[in-house]
Amino acid sequence: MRAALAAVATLALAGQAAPALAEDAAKSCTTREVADGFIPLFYEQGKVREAYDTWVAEDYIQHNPGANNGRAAAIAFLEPIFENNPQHRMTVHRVLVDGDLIAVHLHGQSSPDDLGAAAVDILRVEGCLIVEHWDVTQRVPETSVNGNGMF
Amino acid sequence: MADFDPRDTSGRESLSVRDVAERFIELFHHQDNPTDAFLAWVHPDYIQHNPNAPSGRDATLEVLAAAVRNNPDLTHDVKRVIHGGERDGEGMVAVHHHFRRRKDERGWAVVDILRIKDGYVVEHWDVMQPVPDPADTKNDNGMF
Repeated sequence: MRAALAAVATLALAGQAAPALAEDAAKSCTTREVADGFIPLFYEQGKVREAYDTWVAEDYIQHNPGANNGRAAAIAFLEPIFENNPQHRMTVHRVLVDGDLIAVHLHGQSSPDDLGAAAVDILRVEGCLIVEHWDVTQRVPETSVNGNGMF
Repeated sequence: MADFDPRDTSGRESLSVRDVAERFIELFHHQDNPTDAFLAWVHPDYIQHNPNAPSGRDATLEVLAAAVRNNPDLTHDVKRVIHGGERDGEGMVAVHHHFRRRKDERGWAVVDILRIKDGYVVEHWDVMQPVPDPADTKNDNGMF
């Protein structure tokens, strides 16, 4: 309990949780706490390595068919996207949290005028870490039957 | 099997967002019956964000009913459902499923997100991606 309180204090002071060491997997966080830690760092600030090193398990199970399993592979896949293009951005439109799952509905764009892609990431949490990831991605079309946009 | 009648709308005003979501998902995704799902649970002024479908309950239903008529083996294999909680009679649910028009096609991975308010599904977003040939994927986990 004291350790948990200390962790909360650290989180409040630093604005984020301590780095994810192996033993962090055994700690307890709510799924909401993991969402509130990971989502601003990764999606809104684009701090790929910091977000993944803090909140993602080393043996992370990957279901995106274009990426390999594991945290290191995810960082290797994602980091160049941001480093090669400072204009790349992700806008989070809605987040759902239920049990051990988080769903993030987002818009990824390579520049402000790129139509970009709609995506839903689904993240599974164990302890204080994201341990599994599924996603579905679709290019935003130029035209829409209903004019409501994809978000 | 569901322990409720998914077509029974008589207690609509007393149902939670989760209750409405479960009834809609039972009819639409599990029973592949868009007509019953839409007539029971979707609001006439339903807001559609799928770029290929019209807004409004009846216009969307026309598109979906035609899809079922043209593809009688169409299935939505539900993999996981994420209930986003409820505030003031309103909330959202996400349904991750495998959509196939025929049993022998790889089909699409889909996430439907529904906004539910006062006993009705009032808004819908979705994302769809073709399931790739397993020979072309970098991991062996599948998309689900």
